[in-house]
Amino acid sequence: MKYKDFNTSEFVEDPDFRKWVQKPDEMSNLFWNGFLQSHPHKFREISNAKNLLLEIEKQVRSDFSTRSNEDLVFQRIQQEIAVGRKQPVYLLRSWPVWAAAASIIFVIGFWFMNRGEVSPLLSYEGNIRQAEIPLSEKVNDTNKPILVTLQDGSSVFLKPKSKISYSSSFNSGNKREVYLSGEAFFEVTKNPARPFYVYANELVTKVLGTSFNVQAFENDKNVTVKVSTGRVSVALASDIEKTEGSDQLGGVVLLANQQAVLSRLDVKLVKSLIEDPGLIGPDHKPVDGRFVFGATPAAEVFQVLENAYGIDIEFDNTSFANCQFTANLTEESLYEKLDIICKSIEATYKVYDSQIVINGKGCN
Amino acid sequence: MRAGSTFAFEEIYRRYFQVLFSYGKRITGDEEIVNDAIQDLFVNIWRTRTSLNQAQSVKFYLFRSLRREIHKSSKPGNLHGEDWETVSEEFLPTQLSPEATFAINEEVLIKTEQLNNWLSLLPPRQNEALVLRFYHNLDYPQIASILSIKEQTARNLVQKALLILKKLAIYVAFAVFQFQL
Repeated sequence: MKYKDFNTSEFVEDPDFRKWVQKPDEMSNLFWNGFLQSHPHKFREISNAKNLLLEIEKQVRSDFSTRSNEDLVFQRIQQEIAVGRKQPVYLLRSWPVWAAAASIIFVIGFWFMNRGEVSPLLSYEGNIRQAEIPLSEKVNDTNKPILVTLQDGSSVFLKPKSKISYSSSFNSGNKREVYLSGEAFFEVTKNPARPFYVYANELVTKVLGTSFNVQAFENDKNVTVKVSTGRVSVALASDIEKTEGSDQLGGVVLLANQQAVLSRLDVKLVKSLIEDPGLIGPDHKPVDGRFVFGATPAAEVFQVLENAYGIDIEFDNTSFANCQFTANLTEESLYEKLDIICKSIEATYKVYDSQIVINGKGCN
Repeated sequence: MRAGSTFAFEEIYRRYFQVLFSYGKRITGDEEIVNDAIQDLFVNIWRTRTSLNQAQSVKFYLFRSLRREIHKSSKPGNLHGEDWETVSEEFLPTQLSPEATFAINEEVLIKTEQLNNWLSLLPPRQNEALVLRFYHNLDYPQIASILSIKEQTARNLVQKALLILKKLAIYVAFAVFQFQL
């Protein structure tokens, strides 16, 4: 045993010893505790060596910075890479100037709306200027989506040519607020006490914990919110003030596989099914995870689809009472499934808003 | 990283930011200078990422570059322990300063909170070498290259630091022992 004559310096110089102190695991605990038991006279050296390493670690950790500073520096790096030159730091440090500018812009905006003129389209720049708190910004100028992890554990897949801003102290306060320009997919951690808001042009989306996609490019005609799981409410930013204080946001409530599309010019918000609905979650899959039907009554087939995709399917029970269906539809998309089923039971389907309606004469 | 993926870039940043910041703060004390140096360092890495030699330890490269960035942008007077930089190693103290000796009289040391600071009683260069060696697990050739000194000098720095700590340990051991139980 090479360690039996080690002094303190030799212990701290030993990589295995350091590894035990820095990242103890079952194996190293077993080894070093065993060593101490069989070499009790080494207790002082080991104890000194271990204390020294822990003191050094404590010193290093005491000089760590805050998470928000870490984010801020990263944001500056991204900016410098994107812009190609360094932004002067004093801009970021002079809050009072920014705050004054923000309040002036806010007042002007308010005045416009009160005069009853057509309110100008809301944009990202305008939205973040109205935020009362310091914001950090992430910009994706690559050609692939980037993952942004927020302080509350929520993740944002920020699509190319898109950017988001959020409070530097995101995880405090009673709201989690994010401003988006472009497109992003959100996975929001559940926290009913602190709802999550996305401001995207004229549209505000409120969620408690779910995943969804928002598309809001500044110059696009539409703003779209698509829901993958959970439940979100979507409303026009201009309607928010009216419902301030109440729990519901007004506007429309979206469930999984539904979307809301805002036509920005005529300010019309329409709810519909998303183009390619997906399974809403493991709990809702058919028992064995497959869509295999063998002489299954049509009502039951539709029920399976309804549960798996979380979509309302309307059909007349009596006319389809004699219809049966046999096939394996595990690989097909929802609409392919419906095509095959309807063909075999001589029916047709139509999508109305967020509902699917099946029509047919029935089977003999 | 060499593929230029932004994911790997952010991952490296996230993995090393705090330890780099901590290291830089010991050198200059001015947090904005540290932030700035880290920014320059990573922008530089991004721009030259294809030429980054993969065989070389990333951690070593980061620490060495950060130290250079900070020295580039600092007035000499602002650096902690800067006066040691130009002094030849054999003249550096192996003894504690009178204040330090005062601070470790037994009575004071029994209070465990005093123990938190005994590392900072070391001369800054020794402290720095200890951190690189025993927290960041860098080897002596790497430490020598980071501090721009000879390998043997780097070894001496660490040994002198351990010698001082050994003297301290005579006072400290009792209190540490109690603290641990």
